[in-house]
Amino acid sequence: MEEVKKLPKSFFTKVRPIAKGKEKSSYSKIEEIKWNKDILQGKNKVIGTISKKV
Amino acid sequence: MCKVGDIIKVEKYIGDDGSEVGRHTFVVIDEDEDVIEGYNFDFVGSPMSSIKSEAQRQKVEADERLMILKTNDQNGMPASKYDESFLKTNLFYYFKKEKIQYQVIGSLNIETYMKLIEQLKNLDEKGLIENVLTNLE
Repeated sequence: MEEVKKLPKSFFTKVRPIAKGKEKSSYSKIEEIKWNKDILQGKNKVIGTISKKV
Repeated sequence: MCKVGDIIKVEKYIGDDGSEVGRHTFVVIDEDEDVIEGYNFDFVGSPMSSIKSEAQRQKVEADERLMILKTNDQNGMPASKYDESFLKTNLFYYFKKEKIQYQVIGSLNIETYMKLIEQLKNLDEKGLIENVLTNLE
């Protein structure tokens, strides 16, 4: 990827309209990718729980 | 660390409506620290979602703000039962690394990356890109 051209820095510091509250479109209802088990059992694995204060 | 073209999963982030969103996939489109509207940021990403039906595909295909890609053709991607995904290339999410947990899970192949660059340029010319700064505030 190093030799591939990137967009100029100014492309990402450009002031554009702010997308506020528009994410609740029909597209956002499409679920994300189903994760491979190995990924889910890696960093995200639950190794213990903190007991509640009595 | 993540670099341009990487596919990452972000554990929690703030959506453009200000509410917390759970785990989701993004493609990194910029990786250099800078400032946008007075806020420091570390990288920029566009959200990625899967296409689960032909009806959804047609809807996505008809929307010029979105870009379809082959999910399992990308480098290092975990196997997905959904052959195709799409990028919401009209949305630029700005992130500070210290504010989120993320993990690199793959990267776009070169053909997809080049297509993405062209798509972003076209959308910019048409004024269709919107920024999401909710994760910097």
